Amino acid sequence: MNAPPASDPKFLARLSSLELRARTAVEGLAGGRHASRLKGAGLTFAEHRAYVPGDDLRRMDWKVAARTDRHVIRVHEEESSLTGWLLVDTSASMGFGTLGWSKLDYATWTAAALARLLAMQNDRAGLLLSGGGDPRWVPARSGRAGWPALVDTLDAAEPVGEGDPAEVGEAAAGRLGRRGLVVWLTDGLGDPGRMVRAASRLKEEGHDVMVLRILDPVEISLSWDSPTRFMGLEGGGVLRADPKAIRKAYVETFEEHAQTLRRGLRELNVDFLRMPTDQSLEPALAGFLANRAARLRKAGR
Amino acid sequence: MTFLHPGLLWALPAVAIPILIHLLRRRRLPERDFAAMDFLALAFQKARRRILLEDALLLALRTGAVLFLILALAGPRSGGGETSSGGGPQADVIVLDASMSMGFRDGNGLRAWDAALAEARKRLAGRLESQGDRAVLVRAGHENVRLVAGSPRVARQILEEASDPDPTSCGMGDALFLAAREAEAIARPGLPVRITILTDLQRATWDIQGREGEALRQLLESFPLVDVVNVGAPSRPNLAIVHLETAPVSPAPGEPAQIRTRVRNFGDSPRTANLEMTLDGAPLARWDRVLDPGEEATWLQIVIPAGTGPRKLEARLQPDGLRADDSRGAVVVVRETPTVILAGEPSLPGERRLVFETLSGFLDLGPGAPLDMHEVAPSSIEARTLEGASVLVLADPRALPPSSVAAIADRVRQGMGLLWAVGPTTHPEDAAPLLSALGAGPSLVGPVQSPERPATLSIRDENHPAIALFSDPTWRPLLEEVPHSSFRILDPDAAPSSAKVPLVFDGESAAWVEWKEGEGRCAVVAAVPIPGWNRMEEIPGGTLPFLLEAVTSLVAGIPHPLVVETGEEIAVVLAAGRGNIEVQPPLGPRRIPFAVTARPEGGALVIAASSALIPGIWVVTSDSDPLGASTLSSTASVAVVPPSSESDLAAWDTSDLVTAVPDLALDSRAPAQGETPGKDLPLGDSVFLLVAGLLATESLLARWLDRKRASA
Repeated sequence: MNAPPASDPKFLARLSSLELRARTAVEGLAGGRHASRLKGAGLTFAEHRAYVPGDDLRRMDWKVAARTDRHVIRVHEEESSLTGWLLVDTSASMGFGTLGWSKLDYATWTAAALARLLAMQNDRAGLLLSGGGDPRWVPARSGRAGWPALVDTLDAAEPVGEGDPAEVGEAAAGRLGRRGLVVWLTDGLGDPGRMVRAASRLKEEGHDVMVLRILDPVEISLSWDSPTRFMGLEGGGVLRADPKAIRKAYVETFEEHAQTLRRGLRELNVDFLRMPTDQSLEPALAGFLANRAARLRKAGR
Repeated sequence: MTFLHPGLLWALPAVAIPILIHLLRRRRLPERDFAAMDFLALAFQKARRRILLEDALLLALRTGAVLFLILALAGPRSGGGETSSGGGPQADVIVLDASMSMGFRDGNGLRAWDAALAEARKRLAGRLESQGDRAVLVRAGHENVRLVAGSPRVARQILEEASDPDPTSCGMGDALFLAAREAEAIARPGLPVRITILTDLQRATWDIQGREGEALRQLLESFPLVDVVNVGAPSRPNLAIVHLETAPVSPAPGEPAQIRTRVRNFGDSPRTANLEMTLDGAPLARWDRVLDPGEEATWLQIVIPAGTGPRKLEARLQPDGLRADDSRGAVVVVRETPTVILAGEPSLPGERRLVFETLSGFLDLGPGAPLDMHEVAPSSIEARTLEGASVLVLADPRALPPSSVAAIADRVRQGMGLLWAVGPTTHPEDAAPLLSALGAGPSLVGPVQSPERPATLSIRDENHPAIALFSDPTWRPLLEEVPHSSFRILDPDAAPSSAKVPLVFDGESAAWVEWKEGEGRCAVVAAVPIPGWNRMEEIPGGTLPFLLEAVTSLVAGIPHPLVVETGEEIAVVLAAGRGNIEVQPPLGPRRIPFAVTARPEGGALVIAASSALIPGIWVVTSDSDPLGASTLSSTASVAVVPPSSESDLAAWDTSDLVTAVPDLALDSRAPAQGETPGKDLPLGDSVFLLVAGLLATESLLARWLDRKRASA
């Protein structure tokens, strides 16, 4: 079916609650089957389905193929007890947005959708919000029990405080307990070296780390056209400028910074994904599922 | 070089104007919050030297243009004298254009309307009834009215007390015909009639090839002395809010409503629109945007209103020459969360899942959801079960008892919506009693079709509220690529004649038939998720919004318009009350009288307020009986908005009018007392050419820089 992703932010913004957005995004990813659980490579046999190119050939049911001349895949219920930590940067800069939703809105939608995925698989999901003030924790709980508290906390998140994006990673280091999968949602508008050091600490503690860099399209391309008084959301003072006149220099500076951050994280083997807020949540959700599967394989499941 | 008007050289300090504008624009730039300020500051440092050079060159060209313009204007000029009118009695018929655009203020704060009144006073000065002079004033506004006929003294008094122009357009052609009739009534031998039309010559008012041109020609046939005086300002920049709407108009509590505000720059130079939006008077959002000449920009704002009932939304621009279009109101009615009753039978053990289970799974969204859903067995439906229900969803029910059929039909007529999801267990003979109770024929639900190639849905009514989301090309495939291996066909010919078919199978057979029965809407839908029959369940992220929109589209809407144009009648439908009705207009510059009528209709009261001439939100209240069973509200709000055609101040050139009506006498602008009209300026021509050259160079350079920066 040639349909657009249900995780398109334009579509999600029309829905009324964070819970509904998370459900819609995840159900879109899961093929729309209502209340279905994700199926994968666990132990309990669930069903057969037709083979499609790209499927793992080890899961092909050769007996059925020999008997019926049809190629089918054995699908199993996934079983795990993985812990997923969602670190959300709530500094004031995350309040920026030009599309009708802010970077923080987009981050909370993504985090809620990831938490929904974890809950659907009975994984443990925890949350840390930090943006320059006191961090807010939601302890990791498994299954659907922890989901409402997590969604309520995300729903109430406000973009306040001046802080380096690395602070949320630093706040998490040493406090996340058992090894797990850490998804760090931030705009990364800060010292790239400090962010890389924070990610490095999390890696040293044995976590798999995935950084989702959430940016408004205007921040990437400075696509405004008229002269403007720019007011810094986190200090930075006031600057009068014609965006058209400085666009080229801005984009160069921005990409240099992005390159430094990307290179530093890749050297640590940290997954890094740039997510413009006008694009679908699907790459993040798919990347997360791939990471989760890798983590489970590493754990010997 | 010598100057004929050396006094004008005192204007030379005006060369500082471009520099002042440059500095003022720097101070009045739109403000924007921005997150990546560090990168911006670094980029600015890198590009600073180049930007300064480019700006200095542009500034030099602009300053030069102003300098040479002043020099050209100070060159030799020849003056001319005013023509004087002859003696003897005179009859004056003066037509005052009182349309909204006449409220436009020029740079000195003077309205075109003020200029029209001054010119009318001037033309009537010295006229005496005792000498046989006569005067008629015709006001062309919301209505064409003869203000006075006869005494010039009374006419002058009326001009002193004239009310402001109306916030409406005017029918100038009809006003001219009225003036012709009045002129005929006072004309007599020895009394020449001079007809003066004081107008801003707005193109929206003057159809010079049509009605207005024809009226002028007819006037001239009977009365050779017709003057059209253009009292409009030479420059008419105007920013206007031309549209304000919310979608949906009536959201549920917590449901986001998108506010769409359209702003247009009707002027011939770029302008900054500083927009402010309020909800019930409290600030909601601000928006700044530079608009090029003729550009229309749309501001999208999402609001999630709390509480229920009508809310007043207002968008406001910084005041400019024409104030009437600098603000615009809209009404958002936050409705109660709809109560939805889902009636159907679960499948028996071992059976395939049926419609009831799939609909229940999708629509039961839990607390905080946009629907408050309850499930009942079809056999237990009775009047009490349906009390307070906004929509009843019948999920493929088997036969319904006669008492249930009667209860459903009664509630539908009172305003409850009905969504009848048709599937494998809906048998035409079981469906017949309810269909006939709802005004449809028994053959509406037809037999099961199982085509060789699965059928797909296609959209027939793009504007249907439940399908609007999917009419977007991005989302269209969600509905159109669902294979249906089996479905029941619907026969729209068996539905009442007003029935609509929003969705069809394979572009032919009806998949959705909808009609109105009494106050309620009935929809019979064969395109519902049924495992084994179709693959609608698998639409990624689409089935839930589709079903939500389908159900909410059947909730009874607001029974009257929420927006009317100034001058039109406000008509609202409220719960019937004991008789006290209050119509509260918004605060206007002056109280403008309006008439209120009320008539009962069914269990409702239709209240009409005529000639709503004050833009803004009007509130109508009736003292409804608190014990009454009416589901209608006792208060309604309606937004009265000015016509956007009046915001476009583009005017005819007087030469256009002469071309259309050759015998016409024209003043391009009423000369003030003692003012002498200017003549051509031969010695200034070469300097004007230089100014034009400088401006052209500036324009080319600015455009080249713009393109260069945009390509960066």
